[in-house]
Amino acid sequence: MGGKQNTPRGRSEAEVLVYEDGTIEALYSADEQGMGSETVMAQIAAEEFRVPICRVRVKRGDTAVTPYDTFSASSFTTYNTGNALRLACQDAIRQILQTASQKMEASVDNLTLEDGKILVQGSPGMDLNQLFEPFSMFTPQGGPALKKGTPVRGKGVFAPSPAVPWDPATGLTPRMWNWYQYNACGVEIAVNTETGEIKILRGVLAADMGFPINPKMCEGQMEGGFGMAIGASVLEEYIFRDGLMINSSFGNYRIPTFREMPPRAQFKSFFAPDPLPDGPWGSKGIGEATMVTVAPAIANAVYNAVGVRLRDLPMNPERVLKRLQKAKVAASAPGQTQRR
Amino acid sequence: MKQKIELKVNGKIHEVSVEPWKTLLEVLREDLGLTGAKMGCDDGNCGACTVIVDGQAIKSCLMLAPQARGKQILTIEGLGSPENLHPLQQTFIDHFAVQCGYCTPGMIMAAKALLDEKPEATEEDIRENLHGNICRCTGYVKIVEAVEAARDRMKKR
Amino acid sequence: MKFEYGEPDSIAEAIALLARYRERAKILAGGTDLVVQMRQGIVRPDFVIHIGRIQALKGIFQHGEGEIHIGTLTTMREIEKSKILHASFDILCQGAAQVSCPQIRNVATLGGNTCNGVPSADTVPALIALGAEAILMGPAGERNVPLEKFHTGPGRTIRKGDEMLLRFKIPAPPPSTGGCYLKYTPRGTFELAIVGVAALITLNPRDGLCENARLILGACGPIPLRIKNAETILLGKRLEESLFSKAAAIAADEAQPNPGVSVRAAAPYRREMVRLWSRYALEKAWQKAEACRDSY
Repeated sequence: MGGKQNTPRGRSEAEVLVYEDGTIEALYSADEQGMGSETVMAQIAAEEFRVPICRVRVKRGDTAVTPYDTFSASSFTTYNTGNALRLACQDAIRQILQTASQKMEASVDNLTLEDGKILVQGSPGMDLNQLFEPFSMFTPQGGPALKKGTPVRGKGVFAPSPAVPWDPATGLTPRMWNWYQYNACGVEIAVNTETGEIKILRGVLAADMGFPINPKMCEGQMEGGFGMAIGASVLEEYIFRDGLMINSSFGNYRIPTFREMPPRAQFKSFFAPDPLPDGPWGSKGIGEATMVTVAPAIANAVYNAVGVRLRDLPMNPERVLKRLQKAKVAASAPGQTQRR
Repeated sequence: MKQKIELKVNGKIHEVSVEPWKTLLEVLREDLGLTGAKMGCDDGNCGACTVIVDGQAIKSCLMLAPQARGKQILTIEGLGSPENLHPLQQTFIDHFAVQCGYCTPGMIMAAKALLDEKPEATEEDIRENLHGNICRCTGYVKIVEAVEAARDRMKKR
Repeated sequence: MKFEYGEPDSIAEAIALLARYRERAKILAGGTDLVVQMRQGIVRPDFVIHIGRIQALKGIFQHGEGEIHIGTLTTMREIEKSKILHASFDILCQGAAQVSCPQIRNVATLGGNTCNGVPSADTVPALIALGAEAILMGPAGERNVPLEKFHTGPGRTIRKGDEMLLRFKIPAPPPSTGGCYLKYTPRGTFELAIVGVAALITLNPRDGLCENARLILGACGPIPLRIKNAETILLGKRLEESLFSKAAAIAADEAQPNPGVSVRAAAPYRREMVRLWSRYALEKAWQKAEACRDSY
């Protein structure tokens, strides 16, 4: 078991544009490196406006038009940028319903926006595009309306509540981080006692991501994290000579290949979501913590298999064999305390 | 000194004028604008540059452009179009086998070469034949699923 | 990186280019080693001679008395899949099959793997075990060099600057012969070998005693090492486990792994692996020879 925290720093800002044809455009500067943040943001906007996701467009990372963000790192984006985007969507919806309530002479509390339609206590009221009126010289001044060609612009800013410094006397604080994201990992391994190789036979990973906005992508993070962690645990090592890394080719920097992962049927990821009160629909993040628990699980499995504890990474064959040989020598020496 | 080389890529003939020390990968990307094949390591390890030459998967960062003269070259761009994706391209999308996408074109070309030779390829075959293609994002899990799904789809045809 | 590039159509043309440029030229076959070396500045030829289109350098042919000729341009994949070679020269197929990954094997050539001269080459120990000869051609004509004498140091071979490797000649192994090439790395065949072992055992078909033994180590010295002292203790004997262990111990002793900082494995570990895998390879080779004897 292990996890990572999310730091209460930074500030995310997002905007959302609602066009008269019902297109939603989300604007933010957070990055997409392939983890799928763009998809999640689109899902968040689609959920807020209750539209199919094909109606949502994302424009990101162009600070000529997108508001600044802090970074896409440290499992930051879903929680921080996601919250900012939610607030932007809610701001836009509020403006739309305000205008609708004036037009329809209905109380704003009775109105909801659903799939491009404004509903009055759940019943169809008017279409969103009917709220957008064409420009005309003859429009009465000050009338309630949105104008064709000008989208509704919603803005949202999210900054997490700051950390409370800890009491120097007790070392305790009620708030250090935004949230914790815990994982659990189990592995079944085989140790080749003649070569020192560790083979990962089976793996399970359970993650608490608060709420899986996109379950398939959460799986992808767990699977990828497990794979990357196999590398860190038993294969990858920086070798330096005179200050230069001499194994910087993928041929001798041992990044895992297809063959180092267990077979498909022998790896499973589980969701164990514990909703976060101020996360988007309870969401936290997931990217980094997936790696944390794997090396310890493997090390514990090694102890379980052959009775030696390795405390240096990577647990590569040379290190494992050396430890095994030392343990054998210690075990066969008469009258010695067994230290493993 | 530049050499005139005729290359057959994705069914079309291109004439390029390049220095002989340019690799096939560089010519595909820089002279022909086919940026699907990627330069991930430039020393023949990561497989992101994989294309199919005369029916065989090869690492295009290891082939000088003049070596490719007269050979049939297939890149990811020639596999399918946005309107008409190859089953492998579709299953990679459907199964979320693409994260950062850098390894993806090479993976798909290596998988195509495998399935062309072994339409019944098992998971073991897939892992064995694609282990020259490295991925950091996915842990290879959904890539295996996608290749198996494509295999099954293509068998039905 | 700048060079002139030529694509001779015939062996004669290639030899003529070599005579002109000698050590300033590099021969390009598949390119899986040479292209990387040139781009990284490890070698800087003035002239690159691409021999890949010379038909006379391709092919696997049977000659009299079961002898095999393999053209220098034969790819690892062609060797891996060759039915002719699988019949009696399987140890070479095993070596070729364990070179890197399929994309490399589709392009890399036997001649290139040999002439590149790295001690971790996967086909060379098998070639030495089989008693193969390399046929070199120069301005003065052809000469045969046993593979055992081909490599002179890391990256260095006996090939002169004006010579080109044409083909390999391998005599037919005696009937009850079994071979095993093992490649040990922490990451499958993808990496260069930490230890490569080629073991070949011939048994007398009647009494089952060991008539011939070959043990060659790759990646454990400046060149592939033939461990004659390990071979000798097996000759004339009825083979069994303790003999293989003894032979493996001799191999571990005589291996010459680089004592310095290694990106792949430290010397003491390599020696351990020589001991382990030599024994295993000899056992496997023996089992195969026994199987041949049973069906003889």
